[in-house]
Amino acid sequence: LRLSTTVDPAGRTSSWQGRVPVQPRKPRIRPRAIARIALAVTLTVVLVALPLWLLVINSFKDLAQAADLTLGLPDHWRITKNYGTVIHQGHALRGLVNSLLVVVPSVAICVLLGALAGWVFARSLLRAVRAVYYVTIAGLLAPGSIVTSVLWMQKYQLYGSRLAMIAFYVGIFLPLSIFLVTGFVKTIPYEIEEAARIDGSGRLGIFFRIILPLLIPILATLSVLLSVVAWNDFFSPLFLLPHSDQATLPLGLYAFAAASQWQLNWNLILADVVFVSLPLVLVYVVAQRWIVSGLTAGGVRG
Amino acid sequence: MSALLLALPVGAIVVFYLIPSASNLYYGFTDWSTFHTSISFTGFDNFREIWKNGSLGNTLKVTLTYAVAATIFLNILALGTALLLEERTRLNVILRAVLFIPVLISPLAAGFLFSSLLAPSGIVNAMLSALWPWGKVEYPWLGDPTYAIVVLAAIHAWKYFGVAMMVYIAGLQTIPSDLVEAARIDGARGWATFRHVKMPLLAPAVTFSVVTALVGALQTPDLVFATTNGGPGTATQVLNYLLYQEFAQGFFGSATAVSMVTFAIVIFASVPLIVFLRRREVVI
Repeated sequence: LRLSTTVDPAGRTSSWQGRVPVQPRKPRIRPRAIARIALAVTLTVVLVALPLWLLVINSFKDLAQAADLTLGLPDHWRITKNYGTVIHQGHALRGLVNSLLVVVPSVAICVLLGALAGWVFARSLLRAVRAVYYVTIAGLLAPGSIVTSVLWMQKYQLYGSRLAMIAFYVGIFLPLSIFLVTGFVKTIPYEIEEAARIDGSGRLGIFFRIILPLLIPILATLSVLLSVVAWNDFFSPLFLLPHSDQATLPLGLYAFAAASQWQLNWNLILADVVFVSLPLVLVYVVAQRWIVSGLTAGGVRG
Repeated sequence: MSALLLALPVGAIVVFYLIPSASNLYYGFTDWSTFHTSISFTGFDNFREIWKNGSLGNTLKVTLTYAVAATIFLNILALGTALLLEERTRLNVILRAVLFIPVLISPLAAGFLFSSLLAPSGIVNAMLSALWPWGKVEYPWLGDPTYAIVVLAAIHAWKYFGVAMMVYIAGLQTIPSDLVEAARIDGARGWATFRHVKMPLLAPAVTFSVVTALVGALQTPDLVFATTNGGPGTATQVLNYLLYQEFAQGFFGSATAVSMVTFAIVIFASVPLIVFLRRREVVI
């Protein structure tokens, strides 16, 4: 068997020359590659699969069996009973509606206003507008101040209603929205807008018919990021949603788990944990790519 | 026209973000509470009070331990899994997707899950007992005054490492394969390639992941709410948990003072860190 490289008359390099039929080589089994796969699978199982299995399977058990928290299947399946308790006594469905009522408007407002302001800032050449831009994105630096927000929401007569929660989210998330959109708009050629202007479109017309559709990728990323953060937020609703009938899912879970009558009822608490976590995990199954790119926005360059 | 379009978004930021934040600088120095009908300026009294009763010193120690430990755990976990799952095979894509799931679970929910798993009679101790030949393990993971905060930091890392893992994977994929190949031809083995080729080129991803992890961990009390309620004693009383306690007791001025401390720590910890990590970044 001779390996030869020859140059054919046209000057192209070619090997083998077709003289020797190519032997299908058996893929070599590399022990390092196998060890690597084994380690990766083990890590994934131990770190995530096992805890999640324990979470779900124990939420199906009765009180006595869940107290042991074992890997095995339930002796007595208590799915409807446990989840029924979570829904009736833990007000989980109400929590779901409350979460939607707070998160959806907050994200929608941030995305729409962020798109509008980001576009205006990116296209303006005025120094005064520039200055306003830097003031608005100052909010990227600092977290919102929750305690004084309570005071100001009282002064604005919003405290006690969901509007206070929505307004707080808009205040802390809008700077990020504007920042991301401004950067994105700068990559869109200005000529597109100019053409529309010559065709007689007004500024709002240009925004809604030309700019907004082009912004969809960044707005999707932004919506994902804000939705996940707001959906899982527990700390700020603790201050700004004082009425239990407005409690979002995490607040409801906290109230349910802290209520003395359910303490150490791991089957019920874990059922509530599943209920609270399921919506986002289901969305993740459907829209995995968007979720990952949304949550890593800022960390991935190029 | 610009002014008209900007009125709503800028107005919202000013009214709902900038005004409350700016007034933070004032109310931390007042006796604002449920026990006074008016609010008056008291200088550094709030800070002096929480310093004298020991809660400020304690919470600073606890919060920094938590944040630093969580940042280290999180980044080691993320970098390790990223290196393992770097190649885009079908199996790796599935494993990445599974490892990312904790990111979507609310930190409070994760806290409740782990307080069940880590209970003295819980499954973690049961599994350790099976491996441990010298008797039953009944370690109170979340009840140890010294190590409970470190256990909480580990849970924090578990909950958030998925984002950093994806960032590291994306970073690894931007490294040109001919660089790695060249290092291999020069005789570099796995560790040397990692240390001298991949790691320097990953520096931007490191900056992002380390800074976001630290800033996040400095401000996340959710796990404490779900597991220890600050205890045993005050061993896991992080800044924002202390803030809530002051607030719940009606000491709004003190709570505001705590939030000023949090803000100061976030700035003083992250700005030098960003400057330091940025200097280490290299460009091809």
